[in-house]
Amino acid sequence: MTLVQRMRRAGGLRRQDIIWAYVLILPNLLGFLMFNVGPLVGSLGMVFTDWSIVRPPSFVGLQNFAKLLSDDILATALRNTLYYVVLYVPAVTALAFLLANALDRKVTGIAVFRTIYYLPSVCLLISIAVLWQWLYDTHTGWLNYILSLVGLGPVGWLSDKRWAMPSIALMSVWRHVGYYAVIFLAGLQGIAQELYEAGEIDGAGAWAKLWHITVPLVFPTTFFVLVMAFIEAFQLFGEAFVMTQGGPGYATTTLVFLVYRNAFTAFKMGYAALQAWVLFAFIFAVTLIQWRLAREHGYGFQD
Amino acid sequence: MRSKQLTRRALLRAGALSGATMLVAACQRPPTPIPTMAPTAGPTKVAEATEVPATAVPPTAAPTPKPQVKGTFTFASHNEWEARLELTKVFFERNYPGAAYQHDITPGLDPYFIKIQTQIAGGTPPDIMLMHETRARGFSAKGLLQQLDDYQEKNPMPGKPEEYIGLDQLRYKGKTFVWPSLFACYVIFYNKDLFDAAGVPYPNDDWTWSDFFEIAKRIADAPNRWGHNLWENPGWQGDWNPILRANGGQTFNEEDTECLLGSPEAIETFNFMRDNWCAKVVPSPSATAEAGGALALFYSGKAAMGYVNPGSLERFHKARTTTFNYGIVFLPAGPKGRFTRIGGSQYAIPVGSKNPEIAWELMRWMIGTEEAMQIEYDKHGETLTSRVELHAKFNSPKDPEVTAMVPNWYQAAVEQPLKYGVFIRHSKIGPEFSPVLKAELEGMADCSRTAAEVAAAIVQKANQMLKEFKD
Repeated sequence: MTLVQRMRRAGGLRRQDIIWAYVLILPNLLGFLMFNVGPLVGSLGMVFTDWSIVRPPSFVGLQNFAKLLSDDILATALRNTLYYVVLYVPAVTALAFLLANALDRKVTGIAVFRTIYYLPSVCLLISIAVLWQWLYDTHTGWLNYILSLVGLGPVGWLSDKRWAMPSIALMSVWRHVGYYAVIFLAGLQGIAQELYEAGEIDGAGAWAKLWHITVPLVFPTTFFVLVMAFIEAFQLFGEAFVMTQGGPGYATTTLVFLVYRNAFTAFKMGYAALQAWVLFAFIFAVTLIQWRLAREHGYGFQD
Repeated sequence: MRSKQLTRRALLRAGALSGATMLVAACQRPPTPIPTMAPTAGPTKVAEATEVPATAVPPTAAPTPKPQVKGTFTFASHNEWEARLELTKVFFERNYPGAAYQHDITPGLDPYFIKIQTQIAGGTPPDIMLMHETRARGFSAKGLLQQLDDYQEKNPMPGKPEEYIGLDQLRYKGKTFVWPSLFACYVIFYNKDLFDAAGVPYPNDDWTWSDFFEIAKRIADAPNRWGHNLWENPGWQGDWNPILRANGGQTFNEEDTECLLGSPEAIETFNFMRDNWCAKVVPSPSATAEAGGALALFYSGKAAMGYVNPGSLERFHKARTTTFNYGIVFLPAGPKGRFTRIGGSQYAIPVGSKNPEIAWELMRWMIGTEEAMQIEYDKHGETLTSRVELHAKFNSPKDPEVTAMVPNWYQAAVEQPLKYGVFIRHSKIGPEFSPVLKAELEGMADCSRTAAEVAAAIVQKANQMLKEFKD
């Protein structure tokens, strides 16, 4: 039963009010239909076409699907994306959790620290990427300077195929850890203080309290952070676009980067749309698995 | 008397009506711009009047009857300098006073060509556009450009067509879709100080690519020194095409149906690049980019040899970030001869241009007339015109310090390019192919893959793209 039906039954709304309610949501609804639902449906149709924008799309059946299966650049991009996910998601989640615990203190000036850690997540990606490019510079960067003090390096952080993706992941973790820490902080502050006091009476130390009280009770927040971080990691684009242009070689070519290149460099809109749907399928499957696992372990959410 | 109260319902109604009114207003077509002297709208408005002597620009030979500017004349470019702001202003003030015109500058090749194709598809293309040699064939093949032969017949470019370097090579299926506007070639600039420090004799015009490699190795055998600055972006064929041609290879067949980079000559070329990277005589492409780019590597005195356009010699001279003595020499030879890449930008009139005749008129004045070149030269200190006989007149170095340092400028920058210059046979799959080429060749820079493996991967991908390309 919809909200409107329920309210009507309760005698809360008259017919005229309902009409006005729809009129009021109409601009938003139109925007949603035009800019979300429309392109979504359009892109689904597009996967069966060959469309270069400058010519009308031509129907090619499953040709794009066949190409997808033999596309070794796509396979590389998929591997790179998964590699980034593996590097980024556990790191950002664990660090955000630890940071939130550190920030969950009643000390003077804690708001300043919280702001400082949150700041990178509201800064423009381009400026952050340029800043980190300087830090990563092989010859003049600070990271290699520090390594040189202990007789190591230089490392081609962004110019060496082995290091390029971990370097991007490190920058992303730094950029987003504050954001996720604030989410964890909200979760931590929702845990009743009495539980910790009860634990202390039972002789629980700091580690036991963290493991047996904090971790289980903050799980809904952890789950949310994991889902969001996974989705974000699968969509890696800006960092690779600005810092490495997908290189060296294909080392930082990700799925979204490939979608962009196929759509706007090669103008293969149909094939790019199919790749975007593949990306969606991956994100959807991973999120579904996460939900299942959460339920199986007794942390399910009510529908 | 009781005043009427504003109820919540009335407030909501008023809000909804205002919202709907705004939505309708926002969705309406914008009013047609009224032609004015200054540009009325557009991404980049033309700057205030520049000082141009009244006698400098006689009116161009406009066809009769003179066409009228429809709407706002738009000149699209990816390069502010190339857009020749002053020239357009002078042209319109002289020939179409009161007409509205604008420059639509989109920096970066990819974003620029994405925008242009989208504009053409949407029926709102610019009237004239700057074209790039890597895209010309693809745009011509897709039918996105107007054929220029009819315009040339009715209102020919000044001088003879053969004076415009590259015009023949840029034709697609025998038809002209783009007109070359620039002349650029490459020679090797060498840092005499680094040569002296390493005790290496200066190169001369008899040298070969093997000599080049040996010299580079000797000079790079010192800390923070590189032998040369080539291949910052191996996706740009201009940096290695002269070596491929000197080995007897070619990029694509003449029909543009097959990639030839799997040939022994091409593998030999890629091997040469690999040897240079593995011997650490040149930084990898990513490391070059990290160091500020190939030119910065040479300007800063870290690379002994630089692959530079000699047309901009005086600009180069001033741009050196450390002072060093230098000379220029023509590119080395290979088993099949000596080559350099020549080429440059072009202008084109996209399909759907509202003012094609005026676009052609502007194009012929900007590219072909000496007075336009003079205005450009006065403003920028150079005009890299495609009319090669005028190129030397404008761009030969005038600074005595430069002429003393580079006495062989004319020979290296004009005579030899005319003798040994070749246009790269860019494919119609250019924009799609270039990132693949870059990634594959860059993947060889760490010596983990062989040249043959890389060549095979390039050919396989290129031939697949050619198969899928639809004219």
